[in-house]
Amino acid sequence: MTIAKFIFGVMLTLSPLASWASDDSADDLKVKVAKDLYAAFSRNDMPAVLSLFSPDVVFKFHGPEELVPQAGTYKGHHGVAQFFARIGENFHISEIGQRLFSVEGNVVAVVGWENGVSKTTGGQYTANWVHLLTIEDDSIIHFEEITDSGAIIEALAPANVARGEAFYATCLACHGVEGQGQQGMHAPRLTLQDSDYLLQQLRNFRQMVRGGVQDFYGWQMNGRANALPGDRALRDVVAYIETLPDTYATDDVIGNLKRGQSIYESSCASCHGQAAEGNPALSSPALGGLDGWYQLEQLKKFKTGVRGEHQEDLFGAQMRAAVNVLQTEQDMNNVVSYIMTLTPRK
Amino acid sequence: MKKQREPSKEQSLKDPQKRQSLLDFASIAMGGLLVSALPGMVRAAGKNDALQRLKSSVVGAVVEKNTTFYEPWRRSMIWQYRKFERYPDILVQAKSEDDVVAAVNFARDAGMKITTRSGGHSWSGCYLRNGGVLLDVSQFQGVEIEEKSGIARVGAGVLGRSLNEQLATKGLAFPTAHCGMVPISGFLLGGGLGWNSTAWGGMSVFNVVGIDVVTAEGEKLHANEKKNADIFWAARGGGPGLFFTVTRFHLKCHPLPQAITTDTYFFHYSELASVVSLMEDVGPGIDPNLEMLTVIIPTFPELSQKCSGSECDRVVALAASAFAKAPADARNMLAPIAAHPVTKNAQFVIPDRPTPFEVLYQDNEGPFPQRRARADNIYTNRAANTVPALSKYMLTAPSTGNTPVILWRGDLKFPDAAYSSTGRFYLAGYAQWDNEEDDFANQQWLREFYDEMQPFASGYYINEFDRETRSNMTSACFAPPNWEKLKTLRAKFDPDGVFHEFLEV
Repeated sequence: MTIAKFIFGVMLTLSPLASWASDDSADDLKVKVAKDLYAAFSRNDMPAVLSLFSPDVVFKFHGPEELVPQAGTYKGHHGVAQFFARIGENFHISEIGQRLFSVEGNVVAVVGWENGVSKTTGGQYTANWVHLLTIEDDSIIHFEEITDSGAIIEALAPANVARGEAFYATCLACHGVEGQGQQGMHAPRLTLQDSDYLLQQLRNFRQMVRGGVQDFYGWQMNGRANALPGDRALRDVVAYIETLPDTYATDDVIGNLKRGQSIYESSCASCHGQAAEGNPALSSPALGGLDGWYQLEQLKKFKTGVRGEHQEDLFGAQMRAAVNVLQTEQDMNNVVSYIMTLTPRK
Repeated sequence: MKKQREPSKEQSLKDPQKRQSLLDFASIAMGGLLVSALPGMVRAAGKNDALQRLKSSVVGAVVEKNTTFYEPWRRSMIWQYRKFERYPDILVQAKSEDDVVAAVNFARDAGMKITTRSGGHSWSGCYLRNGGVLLDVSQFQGVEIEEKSGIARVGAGVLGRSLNEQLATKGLAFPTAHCGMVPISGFLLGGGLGWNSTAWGGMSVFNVVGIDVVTAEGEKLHANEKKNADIFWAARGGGPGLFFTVTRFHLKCHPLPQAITTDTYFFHYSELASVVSLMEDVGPGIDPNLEMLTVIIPTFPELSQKCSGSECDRVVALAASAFAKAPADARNMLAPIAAHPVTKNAQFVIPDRPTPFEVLYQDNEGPFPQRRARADNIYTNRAANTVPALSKYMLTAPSTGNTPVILWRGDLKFPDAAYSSTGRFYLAGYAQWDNEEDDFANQQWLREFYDEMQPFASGYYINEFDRETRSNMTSACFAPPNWEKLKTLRAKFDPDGVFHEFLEV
């Protein structure tokens, strides 16, 4: 083998690599455009978002247009803005993430997901999607979104009482046929409570923000909340609970009413209300609908950190801090005995 | 205080500060109206007279197949996450005994079959059948306790924990299932292997002194040892093949033991055979109020630090619970185990732990959360002989939640009733896992495991018998004459076969 042949051979061997390297860098540029798009989106920079699209871009979101408000084909910067406006009108997108960027020719395929919530129903969803970005001269000339529109449609479906009644079959043996609660199962009364609070707690149980094996009755709820098929079912079952007749606490807690009142008015009423009616704006539950035994159980859980410790349980953390005002079990009895005087009876 | 529903706030967003997102920034009024994905609840027209009568007479829910809310209802009938591909024609959730009568009459008049579920706490979903009526009695939640006589009248849907909490306020107790979330109904009708069973009737159903039933003729009856004795005979163990619906149980309760106390010994996995031999040694001599069981569980930090070599990921736990009147009695009852030489090999001991029912429930429910699950079992008089198979299958378990439980039972004699299966040991195998794609691996594992246990079987407990893969062996859960009598009684009381027979898959 002559030296020339050797060099030629090496060049032949390396040339595909060189060509790959050159493709790689072109691909990298396309991926960069895609990543710039998600970054601009994440920092709410709409001008930067639009600047990445060609003025003639064709933007397509697949899905049934009669069910998914943002589905359809949009053209140009005006169309893209219109698409985002439709989303903004109907949803809050709380998180968006990308798992994979893959390039073939001038198309970047992005596999990702988003968490959103319907502004109409409050329904939460996680939708997996694929975006196909056709990129020429660092500009997106064609954008296609193929998404799990079923997840979005579930979030848009209004809560349904009849569907909720079906799911309530999994609740009634503990919480009672009429949601009146049952001390023997350590299951609270569900009526006289704000529905948003119930929904939030169901979501907390489902996402393991509340419960866990150290919170034993919460652990039971983790299993049951996860047996419900999705966030829509949680909304359905809460809608059904709303239709149950009001039932009232029947137990009493023995404590010093005067001391209880003093604690309540100085430390509890600002969130839970003067009449223990709760405050949905602060995600503070009504206490006036809860039995004394349940209030005491929960106070002890907050006190010991069995409840309210999870980093995503923001409102639970507030209560965990607030419960420090109750130094002793007697303090708990005192304050609950006072709350029971605020509790409607029939 | 009922409120109009308002659109929910997005409380659970990861970053509440960012709620005013880009999407709001770009917001232009577009006026998009939303349309529900689901049509309204539509009842198919043109049903026959019997169905119309059913709907007009039942106070509870009547849900037909192929209607909008059928599948949510059907799935809600099953406790575990495996939802079983079996589809009844009609689901009826009864609110009263009259609803039960209406459902049974409908099934009979329409030439359909019927079966009952209370809480759906089933390994095999035996009440879910293709076709016919599924009657849900979970709303039967009444508990009445007569303190003096110790008799409790308990609705079919009541859960074990609830029953014992209510009984405890009167100083009473009942041998419920080991997990407090198990409803009493299916548990008792299959015999019921409950807490402190050796002393408390052998099987929990032998503490049932009467039942309120609705027959295949739609007749409400009370049955006990003297009145409608054949129905009472069948109810005590006939389980998921019964030909009537029980709405209420009359239970003879026991004085609540005031000092339920548990010793727990943890051993290296290699000690399994010695621990079983300990059970064989001490079993015949122990107080019947001492419950002794062995379970293989994943290890925990205190033990994994002490373990070297192989099999450090799991441990053998021997738990003995004395249902005693006083702490001193409990110590005496636990002494034979403490004195056995094998307990000296324990790596970790939790002695003298007060374990009231609530603690016992939690100990059992913690390792058995709501998941995908199956069970199988044998009774055996030769537990030591099963150790090689136990060891083999623990090593090949496809899920960490899979475990056998070895429970000492003793030499038990039962009253004459459908329930008729026993052995000195109860040896159950449980598989539990999370993902549907692992269904087959777990089914196969449990099936092969218990195929190898068959030579040692003296009987089977029908409530934890794998009725999906062994439905052709259901008769083996009964003594042959009892099985024959059960068939004879079915022919007598339900000649047209209104009630579904035992599950066949």
